[in-house]
Amino acid sequence: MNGYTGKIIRVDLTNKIIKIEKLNMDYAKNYIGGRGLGSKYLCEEIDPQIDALSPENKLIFMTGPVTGTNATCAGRFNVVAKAPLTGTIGAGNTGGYFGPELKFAGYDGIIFEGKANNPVYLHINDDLVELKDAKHIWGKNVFETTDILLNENEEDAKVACIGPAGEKLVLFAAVMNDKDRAAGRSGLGAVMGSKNLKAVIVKGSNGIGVANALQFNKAVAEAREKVTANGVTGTGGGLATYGTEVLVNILNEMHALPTNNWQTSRFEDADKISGEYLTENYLIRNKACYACPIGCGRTIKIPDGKYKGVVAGPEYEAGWSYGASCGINDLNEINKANHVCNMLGLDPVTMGATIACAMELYEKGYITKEDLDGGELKFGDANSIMKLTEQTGNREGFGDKLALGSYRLADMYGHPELSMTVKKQEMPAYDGRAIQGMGLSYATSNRGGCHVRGYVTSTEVLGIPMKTDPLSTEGKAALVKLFQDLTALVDSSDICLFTTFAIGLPEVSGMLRGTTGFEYSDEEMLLVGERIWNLEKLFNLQAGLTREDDLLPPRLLNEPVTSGPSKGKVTELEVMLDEYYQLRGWDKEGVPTDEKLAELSLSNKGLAEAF
Amino acid sequence: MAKGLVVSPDKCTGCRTCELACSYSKSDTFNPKDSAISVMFYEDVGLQVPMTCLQCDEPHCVKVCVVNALTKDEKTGVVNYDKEKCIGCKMCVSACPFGNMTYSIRLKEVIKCDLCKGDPQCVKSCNYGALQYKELDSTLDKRKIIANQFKEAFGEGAI
Amino acid sequence: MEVEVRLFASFRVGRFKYKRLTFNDEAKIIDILDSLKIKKEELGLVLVNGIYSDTDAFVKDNDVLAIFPPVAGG
Repeated sequence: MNGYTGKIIRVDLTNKIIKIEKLNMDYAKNYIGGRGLGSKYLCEEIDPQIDALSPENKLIFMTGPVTGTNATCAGRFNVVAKAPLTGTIGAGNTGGYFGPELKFAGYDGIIFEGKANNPVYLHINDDLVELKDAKHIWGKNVFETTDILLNENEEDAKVACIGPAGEKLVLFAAVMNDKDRAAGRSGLGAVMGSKNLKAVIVKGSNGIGVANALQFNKAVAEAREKVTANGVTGTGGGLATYGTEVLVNILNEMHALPTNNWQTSRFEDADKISGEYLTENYLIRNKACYACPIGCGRTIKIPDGKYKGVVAGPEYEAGWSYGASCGINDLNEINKANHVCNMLGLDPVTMGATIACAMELYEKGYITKEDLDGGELKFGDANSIMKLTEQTGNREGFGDKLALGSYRLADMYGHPELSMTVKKQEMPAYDGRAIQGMGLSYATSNRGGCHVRGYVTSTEVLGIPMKTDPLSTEGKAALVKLFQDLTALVDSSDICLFTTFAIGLPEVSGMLRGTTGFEYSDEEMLLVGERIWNLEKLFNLQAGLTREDDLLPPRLLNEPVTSGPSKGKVTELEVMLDEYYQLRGWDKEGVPTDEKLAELSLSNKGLAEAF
Repeated sequence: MAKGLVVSPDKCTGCRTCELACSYSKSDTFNPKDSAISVMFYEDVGLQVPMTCLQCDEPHCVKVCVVNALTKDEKTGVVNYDKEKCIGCKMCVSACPFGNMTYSIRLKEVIKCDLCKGDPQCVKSCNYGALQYKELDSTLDKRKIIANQFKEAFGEGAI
Repeated sequence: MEVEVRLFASFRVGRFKYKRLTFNDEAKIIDILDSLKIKKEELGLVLVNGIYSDTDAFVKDNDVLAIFPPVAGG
């Protein structure tokens, strides 16, 4: 074996026909797996101009070759589709246990096409693959749905599903798996809902083998040693001890923590929403995804209220979106709102940031009390966030408007400039004016405002693997390109991006070579990443996006930071963007040149010919 | 003095790398179904409990095995399994009071921990120290293995 | 001179969160770390008034030092 199971499930929901087909190994060789392989299938099979919520869109679950092995943090899979929030290609990388179980059942991925005429779910137990009626779980939340499906099928199976938010086509609904893990961003859950597909439950009993055991064992041992010995990812390290929210204080001390919908960059009460505070007051123990030695996931307690119990804690971005971004310092309420996102199947980053945008619209008088059914919406008001999140997931009251995301909301009230989005998706918790590289990374991300497409915070803020000056634009184009290409490879292998705080291209490539038997050099592996990035870009161009969409909100370009070391700074995007296009081998409009496409064995025309 | 596996569920994160390491060392493939160790998750208290053979001093599995496929090594304390002698009657699976013996229909053999001949791969794979391989100084330590699991499994310590 | 020292994550354990401390005028960051018994190999990063600094940089009166062990997230 070579990591791959060699089989794909294709589900025609319209006609309720299931086919098992061979994995296209040519695709696999050029795009590896996960995000890359899923994107290749999508680009070959759909017209980028279609409506993301129409039956013509396809929803693809794709694992990577290392998924289900003991390679470091290899328990992941990607969900790929055209994304309704952004109109771009959408790919969400998620952990938990579902991805490996799909491999154990004998499949590398699932392609859903069309639309079922009634709610259904897919049940997989090794060779048994069947569509089942989902009428009884339609309307149920993610936790209820998961429990019901486990109860009526194999009790130790794994479930991926949508909540009410996905059913009701909230534009930032997530595909959830194992209850609290999410392919969270860009509205992939709404695509699933638009197909009347409630859930996938999978149980497997097959093993996964690797192509070259000696090479694989050596590569994994080396990677493991580096990850477990590292100060960040290792035993007792920063991520394990405090979780991702440990970043709150660093970004705040730099005055790079967007506050009150990015009006300022420092939050006075940051310590109260920090990883330190979460650990001290709410943490019960760590929770890891499959095959992960880091264990950054938080099992926390909610001590009061209707959600009292033991739940998953928020990640940094969610803690920020409901916290600093809304001016809220009550971590207990943030924890509850985050839990509601998991139950209803919502992306908490966009949810919190959309509430923050609504708060500014209210503060400036554009949203009135009447719009809020007589209520108020003020920065710092922790009492509103849980209720607004519930209303959004269920599309009730004002939540029906929040369900469109901040761009469409602000536009509706005549002020789209107050939406802190790129390609209509909310930017997360790093101020692109104080961290120039992140500004460029947001602007050029193929799925809109996002931090994990090119996480240059690593060098700009943390000094991993080396330190760069966050206030300088010099060299940032090359830095962003390198991070984007490497991340595309990591997302396609499909290991967790967090391993790259400790390991780099040689270790990732080594584990991939051992697993797949593909004899690529490290450079050729990185070229796979670049190929994926360009494929995604071609999709977006053909979907109608242009250079005008590689843009930041006016606030980042025109309103300087008000305090701290970057006081007076805006994101100097234009100069970085020109250099970035040039380095990418794209023309002034951001279109890949024929030479670049030839170098990557890609064809713009080829993509168009497929439909 | 015999060494044994000491399980600390409070330290377990549920990464299940132990299951992968076990199956890979036994069958060269990654398959939790072939693993002699399994992690149980108690969601209501957020607790993960690794369960595996406890290498009993009075092993019921050995007593019911009519073909001597299971034997207790008094020196190492390990209850060993000989696949060649096994006739697949599965009496041992029924006899184990802890459910720590399983039978693989696919492999046609009993899945049972043998502590990897003194080098348990699951322990090596456990980054959080939830699994440890150490000298068992007294019977108290052995009891602790089970006592910990019971104490934690029934859910104290959450709220 | 007086310096505000802010400690984060595991550096708080057995120490403090925020404190104004007095040092002699020639003090470098590394001297302040020494006085706090923080070893250089335990250090993630130091921000002086929000700016990433080398440990052999001098500190000025009223500077704010934010000291972190190796941490990351995302």
